[in-house]
Amino acid sequence: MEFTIEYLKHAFEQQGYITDHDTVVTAYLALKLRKPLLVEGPPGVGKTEIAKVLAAIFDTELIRLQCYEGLDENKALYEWNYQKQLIKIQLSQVNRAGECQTVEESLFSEDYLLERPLLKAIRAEKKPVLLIDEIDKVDQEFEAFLFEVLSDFQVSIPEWGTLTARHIPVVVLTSNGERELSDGLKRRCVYLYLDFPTPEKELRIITAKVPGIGQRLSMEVAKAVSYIRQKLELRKKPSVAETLDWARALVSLDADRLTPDAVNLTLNVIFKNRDDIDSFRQNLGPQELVSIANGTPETLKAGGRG
Amino acid sequence: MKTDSPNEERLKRAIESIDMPETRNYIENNLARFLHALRHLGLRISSAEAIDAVNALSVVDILDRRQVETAFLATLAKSPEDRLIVDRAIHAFFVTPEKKAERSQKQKQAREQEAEEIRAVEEELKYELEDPGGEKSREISVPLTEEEKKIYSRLPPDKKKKLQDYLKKQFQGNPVNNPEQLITSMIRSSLNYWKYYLKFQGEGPPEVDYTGEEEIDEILQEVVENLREEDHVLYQDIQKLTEADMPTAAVLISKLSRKLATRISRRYKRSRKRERLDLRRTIRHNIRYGGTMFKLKYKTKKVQKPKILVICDVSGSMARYAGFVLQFIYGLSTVTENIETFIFSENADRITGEVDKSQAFEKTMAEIINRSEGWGRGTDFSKALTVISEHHKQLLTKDTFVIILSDTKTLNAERAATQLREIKKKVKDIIWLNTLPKRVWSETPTVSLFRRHCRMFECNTLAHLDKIMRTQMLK
Repeated sequence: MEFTIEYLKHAFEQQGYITDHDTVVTAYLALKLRKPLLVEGPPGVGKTEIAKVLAAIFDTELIRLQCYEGLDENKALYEWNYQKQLIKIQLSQVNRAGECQTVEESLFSEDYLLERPLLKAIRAEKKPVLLIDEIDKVDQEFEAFLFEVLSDFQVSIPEWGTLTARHIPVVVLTSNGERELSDGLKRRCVYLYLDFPTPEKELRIITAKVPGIGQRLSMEVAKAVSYIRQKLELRKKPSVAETLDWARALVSLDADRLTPDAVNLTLNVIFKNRDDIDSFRQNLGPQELVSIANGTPETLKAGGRG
Repeated sequence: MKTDSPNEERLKRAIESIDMPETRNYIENNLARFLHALRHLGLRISSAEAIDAVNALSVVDILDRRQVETAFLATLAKSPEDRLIVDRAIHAFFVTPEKKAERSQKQKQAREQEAEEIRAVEEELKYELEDPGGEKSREISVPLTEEEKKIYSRLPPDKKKKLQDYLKKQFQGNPVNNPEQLITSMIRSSLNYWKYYLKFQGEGPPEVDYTGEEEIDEILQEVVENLREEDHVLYQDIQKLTEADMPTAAVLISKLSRKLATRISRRYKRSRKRERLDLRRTIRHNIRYGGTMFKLKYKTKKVQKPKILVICDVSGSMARYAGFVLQFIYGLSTVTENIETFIFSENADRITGEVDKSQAFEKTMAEIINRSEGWGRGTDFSKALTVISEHHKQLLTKDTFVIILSDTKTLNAERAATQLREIKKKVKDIIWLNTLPKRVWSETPTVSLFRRHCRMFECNTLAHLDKIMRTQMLK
């Protein structure tokens, strides 16, 4: 089948990833232009999930590089297994004298190479999906190194020479926007900003992901969460994962609609710190939230682009 | 005339090629103009991104407006703020000729109306002054700037009437020396009050660099007006933010300050040397393997968080900014250690420890205001620096970043500048966030005085702050 926007949209849906037009078109562009896809947005909106879904769609391996402060080339690209090499030297000394040459050559063979995610993606047999998660956590030097790798897809290992990728991987980078990324890296990417879903989209997500939930409850949950995100000033806004957890919690309490009691019992599932719970009780309260969730939909306006 | 035959087609192309290329309505021309407009709206778009945009257009359905919009957003906007601008620019740029004409007409009318209003202002703000020598009286218009005239024209009718009445009644039969000056200053101060009351929008961010080309400028103006109408807290002068904007501003500030704090701390860490092999511990540890260096031990360095010294002006001219400033510091102190905070106007007041209590920001601030004697008074930066360098010497170390927030308007500026120079020698860096608009810097002597000893940036909106962080801070 021809690879089109429609096809990709359908494939996303088949994988259970409920998405909107912008996301599909942007992902399509990244794939078509063979550029890395940089996904930014608040935590818990499904940034990482995009890479997983793409791997599933193309039925290929997902190689994940989880970024953190202090991540360096050794941990991202490759490393020689130092201990194993030492053992080899020791053993060869015990067995026989001479033949240094053979030992030295074998010391830098495949057996002693610890392959890390970037090298793995470059050497993969089938075009993989490379997920570079939370790129905003790494240091700037590493970022510079990374965009060098991403532009050429080749690395040099002094003992082996230069390795060029067999296939250009599908690259997905995610960022929570903790730090501004360098212009150079941004320039090489296609940019997607994922925001919290609109109530309509969230309703579709809930219906798809929470089995056994009634139509009424899922609508009320979607409205309530959207209202909480928009109107309350929270330290941590509830993510999609938390919405789903909340919906599951309510289902397990046999609720078929939101009630103040049910909200009270499940507050800890939506809010993840005490300040937020206090803020909710002071500024909104379960009673008010339930009446909003039951109420007319015009209280909830879907967020636009931007 | 039919232009089907190849010859005529060729002729037509030849004629076209004589035209100015930019007047031709080709897609590549339009695209180039669109990118030009975006760059004038402050976006940094490289040629690589322009090529990406063209490539992206070639793989989407160019007749589907949404797909085209998404293609532009994905390739030209690289942050949520940029997305907003690109989105509004698309809507302003890619319009039907009818709409374009309509907009052009509308803006022309608006300009004419404005000119009309200003003429009316000159007419309305006239008063009669009796000639002291004779019986004749002469009519005099109040000399006002264009901006002041615009403010007057936006006043509600009853307020206008009040000002006119004032002009009529005042000084009748009550001659004073040099009444023109007195009247002008009265009117001006009244208009100044209304300026803040009406949240009058002057020339402010988002920064636009008008091209001088009417058609593009009309687009730029529409984008900017739309953004302003949407009331983006990010682009408002902090002084003009209302109570209702405060929660949004608070969330934005905490986000921005958290970013800043991470950057500073990261940079600090990066500047340390990489891990070093600890030979003594390695040998001792590897004795058990018969002296083969099987396991390597490294010396680890403790990660130190940066020391920040914030000196914040809370005098009369700065009082409106003070809330924002302290909120900013509050955001920093929740994510880093070692933040020393001073507020000053006539005297310096150390408020370290006040802002990192785990209580609501508004409450903290109310307490500080109640306690501090310096809130809203005159400014003496030099006194503040004296207090810091004499009584808090231990704070000025080679690891300290000094962040100053002030409009540079102070008494004893010369002395303060000398003191600042001395402090500069002792600390890592001095960053001055100046709330004065950059266009008046050259007229403000104190700016150049202080600028020699620090890195100074214009900072009166959250967008400024964000920009400083992204592009300037810790360069």
